Amino acid sequence: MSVLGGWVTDAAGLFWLPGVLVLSAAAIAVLVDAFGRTGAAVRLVALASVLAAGLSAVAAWSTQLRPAVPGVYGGGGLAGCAAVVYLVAAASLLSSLDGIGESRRGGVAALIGLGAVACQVLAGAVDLVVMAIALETVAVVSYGLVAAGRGNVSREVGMRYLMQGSVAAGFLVFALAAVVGLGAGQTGYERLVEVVSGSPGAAASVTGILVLVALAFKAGAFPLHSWVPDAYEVVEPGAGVFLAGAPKIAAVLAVWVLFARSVWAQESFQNLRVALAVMAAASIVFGNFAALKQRDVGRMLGYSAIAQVGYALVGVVAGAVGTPLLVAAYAIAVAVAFGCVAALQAGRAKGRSLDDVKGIAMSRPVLAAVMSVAMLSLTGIPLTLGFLGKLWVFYAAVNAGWTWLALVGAIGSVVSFGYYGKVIQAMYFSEPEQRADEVAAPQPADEMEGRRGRVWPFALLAALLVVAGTIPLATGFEWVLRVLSV
Amino acid sequence: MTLLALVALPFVGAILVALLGERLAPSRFISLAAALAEAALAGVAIADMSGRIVPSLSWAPGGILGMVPLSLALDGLSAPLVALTALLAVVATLASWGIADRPRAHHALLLALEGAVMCVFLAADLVLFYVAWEAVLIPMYFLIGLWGHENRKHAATKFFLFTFVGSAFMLIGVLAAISGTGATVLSDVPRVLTPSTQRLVFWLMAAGMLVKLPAFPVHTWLPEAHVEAPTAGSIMLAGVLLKMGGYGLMRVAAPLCPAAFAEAAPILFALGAIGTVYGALAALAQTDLKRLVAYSSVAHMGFVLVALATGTAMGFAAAMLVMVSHGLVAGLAFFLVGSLADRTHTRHIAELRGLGGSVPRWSTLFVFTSLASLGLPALSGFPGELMSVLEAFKAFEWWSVAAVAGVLLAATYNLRAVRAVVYGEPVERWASLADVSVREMLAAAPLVLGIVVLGVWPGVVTAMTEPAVATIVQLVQGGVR
Repeated sequence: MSVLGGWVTDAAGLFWLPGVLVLSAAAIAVLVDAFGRTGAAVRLVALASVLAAGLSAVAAWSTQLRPAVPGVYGGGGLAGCAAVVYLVAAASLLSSLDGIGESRRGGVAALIGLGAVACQVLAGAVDLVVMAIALETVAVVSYGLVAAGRGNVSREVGMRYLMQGSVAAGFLVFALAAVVGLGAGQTGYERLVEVVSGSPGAAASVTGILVLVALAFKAGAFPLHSWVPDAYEVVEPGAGVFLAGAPKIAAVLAVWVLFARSVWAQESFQNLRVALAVMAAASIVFGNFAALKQRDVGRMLGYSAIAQVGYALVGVVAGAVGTPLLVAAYAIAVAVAFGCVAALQAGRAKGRSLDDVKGIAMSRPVLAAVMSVAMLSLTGIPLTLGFLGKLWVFYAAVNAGWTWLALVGAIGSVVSFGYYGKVIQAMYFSEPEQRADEVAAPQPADEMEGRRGRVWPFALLAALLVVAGTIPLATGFEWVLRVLSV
Repeated sequence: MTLLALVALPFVGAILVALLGERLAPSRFISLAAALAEAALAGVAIADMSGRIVPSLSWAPGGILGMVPLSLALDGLSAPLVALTALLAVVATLASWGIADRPRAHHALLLALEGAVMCVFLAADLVLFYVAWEAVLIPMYFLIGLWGHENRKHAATKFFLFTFVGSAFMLIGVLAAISGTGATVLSDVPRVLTPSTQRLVFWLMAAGMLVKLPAFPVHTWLPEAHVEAPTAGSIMLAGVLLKMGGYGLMRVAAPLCPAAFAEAAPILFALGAIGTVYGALAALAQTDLKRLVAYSSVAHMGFVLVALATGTAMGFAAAMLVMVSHGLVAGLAFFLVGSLADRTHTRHIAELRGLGGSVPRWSTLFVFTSLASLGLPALSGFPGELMSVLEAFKAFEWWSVAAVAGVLLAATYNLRAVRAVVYGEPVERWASLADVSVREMLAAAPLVLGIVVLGVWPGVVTAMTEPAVATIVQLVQGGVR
């Protein structure tokens, strides 16, 4: 046993290993898929992702931050975040991806694998060029996943997303040019810290704004949010499990590292912090109020994602150690939400508006309970991981003198129950909608069973949300923060 | 260890009910057994506490965020409310004996609610206090939403959002307090908060607590939630959950921000006095018996605020007395109204007439409850309200006439309800109504007993709270820590 444990620990010390595992699995999956073995391709990437998540989790527990490959850091809290990324990737692949056409499913699985690795690189990047390449890889994967859904709408939305994304990429190129000009070709963050503090304040700030715009677009913060609701609405929920959470972790961590930990974290960039604070407050207010009106669960999650990025930006402004914890909790909870939608939709043509979830607590109690946990965690109700994230972020905000920002965040959380609670209300307190076709032809029990999507991966994630949100009350918060602080 | 068990036992019971209570009978009996065991445990814990000398205000030693929040303490302020919670949970379990719709979930949620409330009253750490405070919402939300009456969806959401808005402010207040004092605990705080921080923290916290109490302008969630909730939910809501507001003000807000509390006293008094009069007038205007009881809660909790605002030891003791008394009286009142509505399927006062002849035992209990509610001497309502009016007169002089008016109005609406429901022309429709059963008599008995004991011997509560109250009052009146 101890021999095996030693092996695992040694392997976890190799920070490049999870990424290489998943990338090779994705490459093999494309090959396997070409021979028509779609199921095997999906399972292969899923298995590699689970392994990668396990290795990263061990690394988070037992290692410190240090360079993994040139330009990318790994270990410690970054490994913790990577574990969450691989976990939601695995969950996404295990959700059976029913909604995606057979011919495309293998490719989508490979894309998710590639996307997960790109997310890990983006989160751990310590060089602006590496960051830019990882950001664009994540973006390309996202376009592909959005467009992979059924019908023309998803292709159109994917196209629109691509066009808007290319504008953001333009900003990134400008930023790179400016950085290269300021730093005489140096792009590593360590070097940039000196470059930025040595160069004229205005030039450094403008460069910071350019980088921020590119990253905020990817994260989906106000006012660069317009693609988010569309993408969340049309993406196949199975792919949404990955797409909603993982890129968010990566983009927010990139912002966090740049603006709260290294290059633009110095005292002199108070103006950037104010800009971030305004962006955070606007995201929270806009996202929450826009989500209130939605009837489509996917679109509602899209608008609420804008608000969630707002909370994360509050953490960046205040330098809150809990910021990675907050986005990780978000990624897990939103993965559970999309997973439940996918399981509900499996076998039905439609089924993601609030009317479609009415009364499912009676027919599918486990799914309803799992979905409720996700909604409560997204709201930030105690005894879930979502609460701990918000607790630490708001605490840091109050501590750093941003009390108004913390208040905006807390009130925003209340508003968010208006729509998250609506889902719970529809599931538990409403009678199911009687559909004419269902009444006419009741399905035989075993056939219904076969058509139900998988819930167990998401039940496990929901259990993780509750356990990780409850245990620290008895053991102290130290370990939760350690595995997720960057 | 006893305290940890006190918090954990209801949750264990809830899980057992959820796992084993597939059929009606086991779900009832397991939950009743858990509630009774919890009550016994609460008795042991309180006896243990009174046998020892405990710190007047016991909070866990030191600790900033990063330490273990799970620290519990039982002292004079929490003991009466812990006892009340344990007692009412038993009554609520008996009151929901007849629930046939998903009994397993109902009983499990009821036990989880009890556990969360216990945790509020026992928490010795600010973070745990907040967590428990919020955790109370979830079972209550489902109890109202799943087993409530016609308008339950709306009431459940309104209840959740109102209290959640309050607790969002409270969260920021709690965080500001932690940031200012550098500790998540109360006693031996390393730094005293500056006056301006105290003001900020106090009002942020008070926002959450006044909603819960509820104080006058933010009480509107209460009538709906009480009326729509199932009987067990109403009993817990009125009997225990409202007390969290008063307890929080006494235990958390006042000691952390004594100067701000003293400064805010006139405003608190005004809100309380308006509450007593407004609640009574509103109760007078109701045509629904359950709604009448709900508004009487607003009036009674107004007295709590009036008593707290005086900032004296007598005032704080009076507030605690009123809270415990209201817990017993409102618990009994909702229990009676609920059991009546189960039989008559109406709560309309105009339709319920002349029940004295057809259901004599129910009527006797109802008259008893109303007399306790209007503050008849020798019943539990009397000592607390008398003390709070007397103390208010010392502190706020003639302004306290408003509270006296509240007392008079309480007599009016209670007697009006008694006259309409118990006396008056007997109606043919109710001639063959079944009277209170033995099970219901058993459930009501401890409450009746408690109301009489507290009325005759209020010292049983005030002696318990005395040391803790003395400490807080010293702080509020400008004494050093």
